[in-house]
Order: sequence, then C-alpha cells, then structure tokens
Amino acid sequence: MVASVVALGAVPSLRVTREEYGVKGWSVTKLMALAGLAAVDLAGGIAGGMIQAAVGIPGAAGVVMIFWGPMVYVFNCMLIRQFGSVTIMMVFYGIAALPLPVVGPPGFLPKILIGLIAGVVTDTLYFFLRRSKRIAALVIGATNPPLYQLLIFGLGTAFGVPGIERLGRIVLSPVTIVVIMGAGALGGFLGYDVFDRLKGSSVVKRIQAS
Amino acid sequence: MRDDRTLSVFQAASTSSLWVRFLCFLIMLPVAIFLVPERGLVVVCIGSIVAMCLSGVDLRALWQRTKAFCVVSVVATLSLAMLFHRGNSMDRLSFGTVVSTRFILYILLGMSFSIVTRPFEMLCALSKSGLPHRYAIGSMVAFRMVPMVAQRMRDVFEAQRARGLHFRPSDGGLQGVATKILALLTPLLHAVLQSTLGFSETLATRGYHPERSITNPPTSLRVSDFCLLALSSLSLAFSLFI
Repeated sequence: MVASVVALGAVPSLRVTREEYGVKGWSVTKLMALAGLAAVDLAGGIAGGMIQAAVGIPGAAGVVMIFWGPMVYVFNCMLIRQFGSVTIMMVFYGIAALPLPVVGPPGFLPKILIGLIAGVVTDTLYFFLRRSKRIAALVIGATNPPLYQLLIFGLGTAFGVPGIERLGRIVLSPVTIVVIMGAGALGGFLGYDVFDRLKGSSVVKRIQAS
Repeated sequence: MRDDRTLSVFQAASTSSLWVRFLCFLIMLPVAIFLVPERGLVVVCIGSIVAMCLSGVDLRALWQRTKAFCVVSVVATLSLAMLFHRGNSMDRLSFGTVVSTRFILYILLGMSFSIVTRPFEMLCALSKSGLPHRYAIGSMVAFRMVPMVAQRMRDVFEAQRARGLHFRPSDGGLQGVATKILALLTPLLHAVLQSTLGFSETLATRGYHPERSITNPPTSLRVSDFCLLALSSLSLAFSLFI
C-alpha cells in the first residue's frame, strides 16, 4: 500500500503543488467570476432554446451547446485553476436555469443533477490533464457532448418518452458520437484559444490572484 | 437599454410560501403526474390547475409564456408516438396524448413556480436549506447577469460588424469562421469578467464575506399554504392509490 501511494506520487500529473491547486479557497472574486461564466453558458443555452422553439425539433438547442458549453468549461478551468470550479459553475447554472427553458422545461429539477455530473467529470479530467492545456481542452471538449447525450437519454428512458430506444440508437450511434466529440473538441479548443488571448490581461490576473 | 423581459416574469404576486410552492410545484405534483395511471390523469390535471390558482398564477399570462413549448411538446410527442409506439392508430394516438399531457403539465408547473418566485426568495430558500450562502448568491448573480450578457453579445456583434466582420460562406473555411468566432468571444468574455470584478468589489464594500453568516427573513405559513399542501398531498395520494 505504501509503495502504491509512493508510486502515485511519482506520476507527474497527480503531484499537486500548493500554489497550483485548490489551497486558496473560494474568494468572492472567484465566485463572481464563476457566476459570470455560468451566465455566459446560460445565455448560450437560451439562444439554443430559441432555435429549438423556432424549428420545433427537440434537442435542436444542442447545435449551439455542443460548441458553447465546452468552450465555457475549458475557459473556466484555465481561468480559475481550482478543482471544483466547473462543478460550482454548473451548480450556479443549474439553479439559475431552473425557471428557464434550458436543458429541459422550466422547473425540471434533474437539470441541476445533469450539470453537477458534467462539472465533476470536467474537473476530474482537468485535474489529470492540467500539465498539457491543449490536450486538456480537446479532451474536455470531446467528452462533454456525449456525456450530456447519455444523461438526457437516461432521463428520456426514465420518463417513458415514446420511441426513446430507437432515437437512442441513432443519437448514441458511433457516427453521431464521433461527430459530436469532434464538434465539442473544437469548442474546447476555442475556449483554450480565448484564454490564451486574455491570460495577460489585468482582469484575468486579478481573478487568479484573488 | 437593458432588457428586463427575463426578470419581468417575477412581477406576479404570490399568495403562498416559497417552501410550500417548491414542495408542491416541483416535487409533489410532478411526482403525482408521473405516477398516476391514465384513468386518473384528468383529476390530477384539475388539481394542478387549482393549485396554480391558489398560488396566484395568472393562467392567461402562464399560457402566453408557455404556449410555444407546449405546442412543440404536443407535436413532437404525438409524432414520435405515431411513428414508434406499438399497436393500431388509436392506441398510438391515445399513448401520445397521455404522454404529451404529462409533459405539458410539467412545463406549466415549472413555469408557474418561476412566475410567482422572486430571485431574492430563491436566495433565502437556498440559504435556509443548508446550502452555503456564497453559492446561493452566486446562483442569483448568474441569473441576474443573463440579460446583461445577452445585451453585451448584441453590442459586441454590432461593434465587430461595424469594423467589417461578416459571416459569409466563402470566408477562409473553418479557420476563417473560427477566427471570426474568436473576434466575438474574446471581447464578450473580457467584458463579462470585468463586470464580475465590479460585482465582487460591490459586495466587498458592503461588508459581504463568503465565510460569515448572513441574516435571512423569517418564514411564515398562511391559510393558502395549508390549502395548497393539502391539495398536492391529496393529488399524490390519489395517484399512488388509484
């Protein structure tokens, strides 16, 4: 057991330095930054919801969210650099989205759980991949859309939506998954690129120093 | 000018306590709708509408806000049922009608809750439920910032368009489109982060500290709360034991 703990410490991605990760706690500045990013994610979701209302196809909002969501998650990870940042942002997002037609109809409580799961998965991935930010951005971006598909499919099955099994075969088919993973990876890389442009700005430095 | 349409949904006055509304509209009645068999759905439907009236919801305003979602849900659910459900046409239509009715009731109950609940009530309720108030305030700030973010998106788009940014199919392929999206996202995120710094400074100057306790208004129950609870409990019991 001691040998395995020592071996884990030897793995570079698992060694955490105090300056790097999760020691400073959650300041008001960081919490407000997370709230702002949750609002950005929510605004994208509302835009997607308007597309869905216009075309009348359930899930059409995903066309926007495939890019928008991963972009915000990756930007969040690189900005705040604390484990739990995306999880907290998704809690803000889920609670603020409760009265809105985003990730389900208004008042749909499971949307908080969906966001929470996605946040935990994203934080965990970034924790292990934080040494290489580009790879982290691509992996996080690629992982989130199929995860959301899976969670929404699970909810549809639980609520007995007619034809959900056949829809699931199309939506969860290898071709669809590869396409949405590619689109998500592109969104994640956009988030990395935006952070790369803003990392020298005083706004980002003030948030990271708080 | 700031768009307050999102926030104007909270102008309706409520006659019941937030906790009672949360319990009835988001837990008891949705569970009753989920569990009730087909023959009891009409009773639960009537119970839900009476519950909305007891909470002070304007049914006409509710329909105005939800008709798009309701119509889309009905059309989509009926189409899926006619295409994929087993049995003859009448069986499929009947199944689709029952499922779409359940979905419409979920939407109406959720929107009713949001119409009669103010963001400050949500903040107090989340704090009282044990969630640290720093997360409750974050949720409220996120909700309040949505119209501001939407306005910034429009402003950034107009400003970049005035600088010559146009989305045309023949512009540099994927890389060209990505460059233009970056030209929109970068100023938007910078502006949002600047606003959040302003929010945090405002909270700090008003003496807010995320680790210290805050004062919450007291909770009181009225007659309408007990009536709403009784109605929701009866609906749930009916759906369980019919």
